[in-house]
Amino acid sequence: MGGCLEVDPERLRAIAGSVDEAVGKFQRGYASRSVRLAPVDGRDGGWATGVAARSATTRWDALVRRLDSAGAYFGGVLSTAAAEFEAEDREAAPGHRGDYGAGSQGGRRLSELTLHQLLSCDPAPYVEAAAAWEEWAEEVDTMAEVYIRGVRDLGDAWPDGDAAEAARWRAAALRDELSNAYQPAQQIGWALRQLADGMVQIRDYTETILAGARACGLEVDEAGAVTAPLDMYRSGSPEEAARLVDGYANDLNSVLERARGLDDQIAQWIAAMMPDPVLGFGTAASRPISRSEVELQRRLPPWVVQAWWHTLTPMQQEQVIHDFPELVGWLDGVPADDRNTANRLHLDNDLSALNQRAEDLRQRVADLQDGPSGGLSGNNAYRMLHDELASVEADIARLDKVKSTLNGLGAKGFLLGYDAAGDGKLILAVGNPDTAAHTAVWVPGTNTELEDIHSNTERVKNLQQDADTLTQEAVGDVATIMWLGYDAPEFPDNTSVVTYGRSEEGGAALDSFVDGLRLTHEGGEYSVTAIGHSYGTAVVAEAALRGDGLAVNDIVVAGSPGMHTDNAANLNIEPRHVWAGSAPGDPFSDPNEYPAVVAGEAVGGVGGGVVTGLTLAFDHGHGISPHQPEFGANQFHVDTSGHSDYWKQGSESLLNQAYIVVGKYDKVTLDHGSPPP
Amino acid sequence: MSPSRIILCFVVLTLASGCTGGSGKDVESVKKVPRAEAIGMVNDYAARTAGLITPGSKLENPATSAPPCEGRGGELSETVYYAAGHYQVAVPADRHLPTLRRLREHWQQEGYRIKRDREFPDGTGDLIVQSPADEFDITVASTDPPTAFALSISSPCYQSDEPYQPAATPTSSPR
Repeated sequence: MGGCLEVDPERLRAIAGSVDEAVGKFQRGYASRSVRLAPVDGRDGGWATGVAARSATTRWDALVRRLDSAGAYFGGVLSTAAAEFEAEDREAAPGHRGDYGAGSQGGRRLSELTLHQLLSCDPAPYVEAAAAWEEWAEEVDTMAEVYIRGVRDLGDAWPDGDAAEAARWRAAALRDELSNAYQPAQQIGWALRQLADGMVQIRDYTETILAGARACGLEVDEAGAVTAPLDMYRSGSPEEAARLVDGYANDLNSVLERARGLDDQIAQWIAAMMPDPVLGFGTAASRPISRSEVELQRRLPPWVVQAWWHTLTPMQQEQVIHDFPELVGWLDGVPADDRNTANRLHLDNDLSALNQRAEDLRQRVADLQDGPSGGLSGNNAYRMLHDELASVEADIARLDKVKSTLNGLGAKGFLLGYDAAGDGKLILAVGNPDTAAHTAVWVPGTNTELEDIHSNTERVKNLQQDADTLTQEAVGDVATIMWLGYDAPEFPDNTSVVTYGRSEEGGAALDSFVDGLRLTHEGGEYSVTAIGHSYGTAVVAEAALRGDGLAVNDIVVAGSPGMHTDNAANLNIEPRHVWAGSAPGDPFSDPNEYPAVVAGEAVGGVGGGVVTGLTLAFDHGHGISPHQPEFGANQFHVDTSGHSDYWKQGSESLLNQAYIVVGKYDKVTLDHGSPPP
Repeated sequence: MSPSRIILCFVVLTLASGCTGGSGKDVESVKKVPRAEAIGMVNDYAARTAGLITPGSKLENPATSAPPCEGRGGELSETVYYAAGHYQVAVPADRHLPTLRRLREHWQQEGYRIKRDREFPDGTGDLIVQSPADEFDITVASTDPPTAFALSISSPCYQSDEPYQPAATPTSSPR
């Protein structure tokens, strides 16, 4: 083994573990669903696609066995190397590339469907097989990611020598083979689904033709031969009878050709997705994705982004996360796990750059202090450097808050959006929304900035813990999200708080985010609740009022100044699913506070200009407070006071919202209104 | 709400956002208790409540933390915090209402303030009480399905000399 002083046997062993885990799961995942991958149609015969799909599973079976052996071998090489380095025995070398077994040949033939086979076709086995291939593709994707991340540090752990180079080559080859297997598996699933959909449409259309023929008195046999009874020729026009017979025969031939064409096309598509018996899907690296391609996705709707993401190989996904984390982290339609990885990387990159900058500035400040006095210009330079250093250190402190809050959440923390520019934007989940059964998206209000992450995270954490503890079936089936995906208004710096602009912009972004949550959810029952606080309620309202509404099960608002409409029925959701809370002493939503405010003990001292200037914006109000009966929403009972305590631990305010999030509507205490069934 | 109210209320909030102990108290008047001690008190309350629910019962899925208290304006203090804990206690479905009634009676006798007391037609319910001695809140609620009680305990705001560090906040493993 090559002489090297920097080999890290521990890391090598961990990498070997990742290889074993990924490839072992690859093999077990395939084995567990291999029966479902081949459509077994008991009724038909005749579908070339069925034959092709069954052949595909034979080839894939061989591929999986081969990769399993290759992975086991490679893992063994790494473990052995780790043990040998530990024992300071450096003589062994990693083996050459193993002999891979060849799979059986796949079949390809032209469709020979008969009318009988078309009419008796059953799409169910193809739908089932399509689902199995899609599941398998997702598992390949996951395993490839596990593998890619597992072997990423191989170069650091085992940096020098021929053996290390051979190991890196093997790691890259296996990585590319695993990665390249994703798209073909996904494409087979897609193709089988196309066939299932197409065969139903064509079968139904064929039945319509047959019904028409029979209604005209024609007879059609199983082979599709159309005949007219003798008395049709005798009693009517023989030309008309012949025309009818020809017409229906042509229609049936035509539709049968369409079915055969579809069958051929899908069968050939599947045949093209079969791995080569020797080379599998090859080890060629996939094309790199450009920045402009990723930038384009930010302008596209979430369902298009999701489709794009699924067309990327795991290696390409890894590349865009690594190269463009600031873009991928904001893509609605990309799974939460991947967004989290991208945003954490973006945050770490920013912190590294800032720390490096601070280090440089400190050095320059020190150089100036140590050097000869530079007079006025030297003092100016010193002051400028000092100010810049203070600014950079403030930025570091700001981002450290995000980092420490994330660390505090441990495995429950998912950073779904991060942008430090300006006041900052941040989306932070407590729990994984892609696997949770219930997700609540909480939108903060006025004066919320990046550095307010601690208090806002505590609010959503309280809600997550209360709601999750209420559900007994599974731990982690509730996720809550602090969504600062908009530029919250500043007060009293400007009049943004009394205008609609920020809420309209935020509403559009929130709408897209919630659509993305629905798309990337991994399946099973899923409920989403949007919760707005203060000005955040106007953001939720704008998302609900636009287009086809906000894709949530419930809307909860607390401390709301109004929702830009005078009736809950306009929010594109059944009004009983709109819940408003208003605490005594909350001047934003409680009308009883108004006289006290006007009385103005607390207003004294404020520059009259501020009040006067903002008073000019009276006409830009947000509407009636949604807890008022005439608004038509449910008012849930609140036992806290003031504007900020709606998510206080041990409060009825919090418990009622937790019940809404998990859909236990009949347990919510209402001041007025009625719960949905 | 009329725009005039919005504007004036923002002014009030801005002015009122001086740091408090989260219950309208000045920071100076908040009792000093180390975070670890407060979490120990939360766990003690939880253990006593579990014992009241069913003697010898186990606290499942525990999660404790000691985050900052919020002031009236939503601001946080570095040193003023509260301790909280979430748990589940297994209880058969047919014992939920009898147990809740027994708990309520016990706590009433002990002078606890009953903040919420609900019984539902499906044989489930919930109860929120506050201890008179130290203002700890105790929430007991039927889970869905009703195989356990969700139990949460939270302390009032305390003051600690240790500044808030989310990563260093005592907490159990994620649930």
